Amino acid sequence: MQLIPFLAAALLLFVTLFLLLRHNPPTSPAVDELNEARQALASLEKGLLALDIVERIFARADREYVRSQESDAAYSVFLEERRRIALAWVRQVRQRVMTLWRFHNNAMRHSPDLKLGSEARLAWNFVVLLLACQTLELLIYAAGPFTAPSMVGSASRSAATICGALRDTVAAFSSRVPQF
Amino acid sequence: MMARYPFFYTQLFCSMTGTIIVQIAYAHYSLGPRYAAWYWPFELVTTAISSTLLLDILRYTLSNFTNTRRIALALQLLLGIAALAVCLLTLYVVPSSPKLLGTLVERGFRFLEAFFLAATIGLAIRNRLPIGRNVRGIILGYGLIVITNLVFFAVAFYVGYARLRRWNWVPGAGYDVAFIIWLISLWRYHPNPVPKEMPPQGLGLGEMSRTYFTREAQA
Repeated sequence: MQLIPFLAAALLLFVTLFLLLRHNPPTSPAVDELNEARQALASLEKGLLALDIVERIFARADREYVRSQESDAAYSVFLEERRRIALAWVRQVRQRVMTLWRFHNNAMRHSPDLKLGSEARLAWNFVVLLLACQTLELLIYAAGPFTAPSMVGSASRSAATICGALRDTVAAFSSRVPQF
Repeated sequence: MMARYPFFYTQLFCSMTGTIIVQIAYAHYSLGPRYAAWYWPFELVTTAISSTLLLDILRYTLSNFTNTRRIALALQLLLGIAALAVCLLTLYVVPSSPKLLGTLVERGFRFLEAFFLAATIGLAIRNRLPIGRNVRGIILGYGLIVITNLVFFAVAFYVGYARLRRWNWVPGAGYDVAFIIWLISLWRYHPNPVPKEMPPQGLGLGEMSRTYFTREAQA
């Protein structure tokens, strides 16, 4: 037992040295990353999180209308389709926010006016959004797309807050990089 | 180069000069049984001096970047406190011989250095901080010395020096390999890459909520 912690520390250092050999980051976020972040932001702002689209995907009125048509087959097809769309929405929101988050982390490490409070709030929003997305995905799988409208709203708001903050980072970097 | 990496060259100078002095004393003045009494103080002093090299590593990695500067300060403080704790704890245990005292202190120091280096490299990789060729070489060489010494002294304390007689060359070999790495990586000066600082952000989180997008989501 006396030997194990010391050998573990040596092994840990060995692994990090190995990782250091492979470590070759760019000195600033690549133009590709910036373009990817811009696209993710635009797709969130103008598409995925637009209120009418979110309301359309999760609209209970649609369900009531199809149910009122008294066709079980049509209703089950509708539910399956809507479930698929809702799941795709959750995944795409999460994926794009992750793209923005990665860009923000990479960009902000060199920021001279980094504020711990703002970063902590942003990180908290990010965690809330990820948890909301996971829970929402499970609920949609288990009980359909119309079960948790409040969680959809909370996920949208968190994503919107994150987008608002990360738009600053994207804009700050865009001013340094030539436009394409 | 010496002005840019002062701690690295200081420890290199002290280690080499000390080794030469001890070897000459051993060869010409027949130290014999008194060799251990000479060797261990020298070994501990050079270990303490070589630890200062970590300051050069910090200066060009975590301290070089705005958002990791505070972490670097905290790490320095923690390392200092932990090193003091190792010394006090070893003195409290009061080992029976200088050899045992030396082994305990060196093992403790190398253990701390291993964690310190792993934390520094881990944070640099996590934050994607660029590390130049010179600093990378210093880290790799010193990391190798720390690993070989840590394993050797931990095993020596566990099984006894008598059973490790055939492996006495390991710490020395680690130093030789490190020296070759330093020779190659520090042959000429390579400036550490310094990324451009980001312009100050125009909008804060407070203003963020005023964007049309948030308004829309809250509507």
